[in-house]
Amino acid sequence: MIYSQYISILLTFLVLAILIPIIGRYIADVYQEKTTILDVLFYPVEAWIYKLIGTDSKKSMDWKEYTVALVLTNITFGIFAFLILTQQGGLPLNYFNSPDMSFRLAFHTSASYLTNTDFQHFNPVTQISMFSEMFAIMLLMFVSSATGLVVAVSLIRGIKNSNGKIGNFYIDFVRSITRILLPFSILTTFLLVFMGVPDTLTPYIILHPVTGGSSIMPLGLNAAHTSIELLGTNGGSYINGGNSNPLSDPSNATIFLETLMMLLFPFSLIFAYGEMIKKKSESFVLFIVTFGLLLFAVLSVVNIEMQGNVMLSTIPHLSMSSGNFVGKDTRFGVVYGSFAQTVSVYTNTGAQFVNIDTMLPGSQIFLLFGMFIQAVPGGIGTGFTYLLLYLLLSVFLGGLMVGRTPEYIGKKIGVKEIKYTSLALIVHPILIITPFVIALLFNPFGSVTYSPHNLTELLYEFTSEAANNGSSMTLNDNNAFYNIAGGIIMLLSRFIPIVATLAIAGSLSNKKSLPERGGSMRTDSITFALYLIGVIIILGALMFLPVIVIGPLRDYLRLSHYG
Amino acid sequence: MDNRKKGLSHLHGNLKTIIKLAFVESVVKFDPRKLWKNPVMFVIFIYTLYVFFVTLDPYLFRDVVNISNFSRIYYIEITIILFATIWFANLAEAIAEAQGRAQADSLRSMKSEIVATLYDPKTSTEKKIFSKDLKYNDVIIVRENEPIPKDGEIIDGSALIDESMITGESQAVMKESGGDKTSVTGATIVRSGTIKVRVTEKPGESFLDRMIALVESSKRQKTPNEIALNVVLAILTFIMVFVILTLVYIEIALSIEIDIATMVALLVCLAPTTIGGLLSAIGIAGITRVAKVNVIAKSGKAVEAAGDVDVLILDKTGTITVGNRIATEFVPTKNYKMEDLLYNVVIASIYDTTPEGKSIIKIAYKRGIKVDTKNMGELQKIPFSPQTRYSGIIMPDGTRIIKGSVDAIEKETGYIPADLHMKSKEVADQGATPLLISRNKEVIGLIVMKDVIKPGIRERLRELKVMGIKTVMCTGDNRLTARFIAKDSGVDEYIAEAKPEDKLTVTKKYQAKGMLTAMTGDGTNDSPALSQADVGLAMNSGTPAAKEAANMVDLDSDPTKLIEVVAIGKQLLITRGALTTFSITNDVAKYFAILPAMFFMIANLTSLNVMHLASPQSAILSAVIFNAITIPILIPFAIKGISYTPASATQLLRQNVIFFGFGGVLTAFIGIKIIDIIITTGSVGHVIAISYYILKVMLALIGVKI
Repeated sequence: MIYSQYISILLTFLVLAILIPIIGRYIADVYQEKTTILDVLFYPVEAWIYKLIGTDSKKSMDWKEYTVALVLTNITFGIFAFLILTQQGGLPLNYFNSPDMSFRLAFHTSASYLTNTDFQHFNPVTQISMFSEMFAIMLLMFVSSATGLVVAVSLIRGIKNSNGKIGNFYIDFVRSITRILLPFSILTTFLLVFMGVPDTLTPYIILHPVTGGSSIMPLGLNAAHTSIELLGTNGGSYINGGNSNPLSDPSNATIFLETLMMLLFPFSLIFAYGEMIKKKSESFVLFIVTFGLLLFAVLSVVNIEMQGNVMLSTIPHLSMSSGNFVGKDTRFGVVYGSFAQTVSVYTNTGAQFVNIDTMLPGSQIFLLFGMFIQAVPGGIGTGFTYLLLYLLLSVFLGGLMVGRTPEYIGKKIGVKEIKYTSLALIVHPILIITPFVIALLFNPFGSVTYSPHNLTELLYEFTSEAANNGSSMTLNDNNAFYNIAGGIIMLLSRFIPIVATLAIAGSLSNKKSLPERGGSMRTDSITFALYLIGVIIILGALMFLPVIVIGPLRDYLRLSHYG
Repeated sequence: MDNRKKGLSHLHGNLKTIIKLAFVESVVKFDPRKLWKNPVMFVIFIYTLYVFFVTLDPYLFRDVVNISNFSRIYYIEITIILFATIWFANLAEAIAEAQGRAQADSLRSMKSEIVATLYDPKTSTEKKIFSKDLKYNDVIIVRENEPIPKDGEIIDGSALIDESMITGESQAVMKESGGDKTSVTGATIVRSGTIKVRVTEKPGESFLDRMIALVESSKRQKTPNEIALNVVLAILTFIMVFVILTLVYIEIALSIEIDIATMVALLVCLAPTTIGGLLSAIGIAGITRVAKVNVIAKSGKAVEAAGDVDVLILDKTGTITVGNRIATEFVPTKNYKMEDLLYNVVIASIYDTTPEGKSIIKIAYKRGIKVDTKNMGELQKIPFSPQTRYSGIIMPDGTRIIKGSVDAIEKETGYIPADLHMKSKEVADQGATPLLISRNKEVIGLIVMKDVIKPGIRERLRELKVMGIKTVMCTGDNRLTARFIAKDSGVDEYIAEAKPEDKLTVTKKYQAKGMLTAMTGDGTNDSPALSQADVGLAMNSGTPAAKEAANMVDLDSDPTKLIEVVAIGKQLLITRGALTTFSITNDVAKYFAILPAMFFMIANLTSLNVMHLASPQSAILSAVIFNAITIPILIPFAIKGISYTPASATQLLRQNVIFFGFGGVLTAFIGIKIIDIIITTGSVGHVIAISYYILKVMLALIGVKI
């Protein structure tokens, strides 16, 4: 039973390894506007969209134009979703009679889905109408995934180009949806439906169990939602209990597919990068770093969970041999469930496969760490972006160490790049620690009990929001403080790094691309990969160690001292 | 005497002065306006003052200090160590500055005040004037055995000039108006002749003045690399201030007793103080190290660019080869004996004063021949002319012995013996020059003249290759010779029959490919290339135009220096990067020393005390002391630069990450543990004794390097 779960993990990675080059090459082709098999299908559609929004599909933008277009587009969709959520009571397809959302909850929700966080302060079945699901929630899931992709792509173009242009936002955005997100979502929706996940306009059926009485079983657009939720590393469940609910994830086969879906685009993008800059060896290094750290986290979490809770081991006749089963579904088992959850957090998807709150403190430290670095592999597009930011910083410090002005893929790393890179990277700890401390000091709504575990929950809440992750531990968080603070954290931690990244792309795109010379530091060596891992870990440790110490580490030590 | 050695001893004598100056200057640098330039240290300074005021009157800071448990001794200790940390950083900068200034002074010392003769071209009158009152474009007259008061350009006349005080070369050099040899340097002495010199030095703007500005931190312009690193350090400091500040509030929220001194101690340990304290010293020392090899850099950027160079454009003559061809072989024709050939060769070259002629005689003597010219009677000289292309002697008995190129001798004799004909072809194929000797229209033998590659240059070129730097040799020689020398020396590429403008073409060609180029030059027609190149090193003997166009000037006029300058530039960057890495990895270890101490109040967290330090207070003190003393211990490395073996970038990265990255973690763990043992078990006497020895070793290290 347990060995088969380990083999399933191995199999997940194997299938992933086969898919990455195929999908990666396809993504590269899409953004380089090469002919792909889907051209016939999408050219007319895209041409119509371009005509509708009145964009010149030939014109390439500089970083400022790109940024303005991106921000305006996001604001427009955000407001659109906000309006729908606050008016859903009067809109059609409201089968459960969901009331209008309060302004603060609608703000948190639209911010949450717009930023690819998909953090839920609401009950998805009763508080979201099917109309809102289609035109607010699912729409924003596509928008945010596409936004993540285009930021990564524009950064790649910045590295590649020397003409000051980083591409056309509208083209990139539309193609991200029509060529990548939509076709794959449709495909996986069919697969999920085939495996037993409901997808229908019928909102619910009423069951009459043999025990008597009746209960409602919500159906709706579960498979469609789950597809873009996972492919776009969105997270946020369609149904209570998220992906641990049998309706979203009925079997071992679906959790296998769903885990694969979360990993697919973040890793394929790394491959696409090598294709686009025509240096596959650079992708290889990024694979080593992301996969190495992810694997380390997965093995650690699985190992910790399998050891079980030492506090319980003192109880006679209670075996811990099957691990920490609390909060995990027997269908998935401790090993694969923990694996899927680690992947979900590390890809910043945040879908719930197991209950994070009942995982052991050691595992929680690892999950938090994944959200602190956000880059192994991180969310769709954004994970890759963060990875490159860490890389730029490493190139800068490493370049000095080998006695040259640092450069990456022929682009000199100057003051501007370093400034914006540092800005993008420090926004993260500030946006986690500040609200954490504010919550500790003022204890809004009495939600803080100051126990180590409670501090972990609190830390996890803000970290998840700042990382645009969306997973959560059980915290009573649907109130004004957590709604508004959360909304602000998510928006700032999404858009400040995005603008900084586009600025870096702009600065790089204005630089001459130098050839590889004998004395340049190679960024495609194992040495550099290990060095990059070191930089990522040390930066994470320097900034977050104190908060880790007072929360989960105290919890962990409390536990380990028990036995 | 070699001036470099002279400079060395001169500085050695001043070691005490340097240290004394540095000590005074390091105190002056506590001026907040000066500290402001170093963001890391400025932040530390503010917090140090804070702790200082808490120490003075803790009651004013009730909310952050636990009055009932207040230990003034502990606060005094922390305050002292924090001040020491800043002082050490100041000291590092002050030592580097003082050393740089001493270096500049020693270069300038020859420029003492002298009386100059000012010449007014309009009225043709002369006037005596102090050299310090000379203005730009003034014309002065310098006569035999008079020193030249300022840098300038000869506009009239020619003179033999003794430049030994600057270059160490005892032989006087010929300078004259017009052409490329017009430039004269202040403090050199005219040995014969009279020259009119136009002063090209603006007061306060001589190369030396510019260099002095580079070693003074207040005037120094930071290089782009340094600015970028400063941004990283400032942001790292900022984030640490943020982390610590929030930690204070976390402690308040969790009702943990706050101890502000401990908080500040943690901040100081986590902020990149080590590299923050040494950064400007490293930059200044780089300039000084360049000056030590008698090269004056006009900007710090130029020195760093030297480390970045991808292509070195080297003049063959003077850089790769000794400069003059030397006789390496004598080949008599079939019927001639070697002794006879050598005898005739010596006679033919007796009046040949060119270096080549001299070398022929020298080598011939070495082969054992003895010629007594005194008893030969009157020898008549046949001078070399471009038309005949030979030179020689007519002996009293009318014997005509000449030596010249193969063509010239063929014209003279009408034939070339078959064996020598073959040999001369073979010699030319190897890139050497064959000279023929004829005696009374009979060809008697052949001299092989060869360019000799400078000793040690092959190794240097190999090192450059390992580091990925391409070398291009420029020479006026024909293709054959150029190819041979290039192959023999290990140069990657060569340009034969090069004209001065070719250097510009080559520079532009590589720059268009995105490579950084470095070159040397001395003539006016070199100046476009010198200013185009990323690193242009002008010879001091060159024209003012060349010197103005270049961004470095070599006082020794030795083109090989370019390679040395590249090495220094690289070392500067490596030192900066390595110490940054060391500083950051150090911080990680300090975390483990201090955090458990801070959360001592919370049960269980003591198990985090992975280093088993004696007590929270001793742990914090040890970490802060370690943090402080790392700075002075690393001063010698900052000043001298980190030594490195030429290797590929990836190898260098691996070496430096292992050495300075892991080394940083390890030294911090070991250092803090040792200090913890000393301060908990040792007496005050021990501490003083150990500090004394550390100081002594440090001074010895700097002393050796100066």
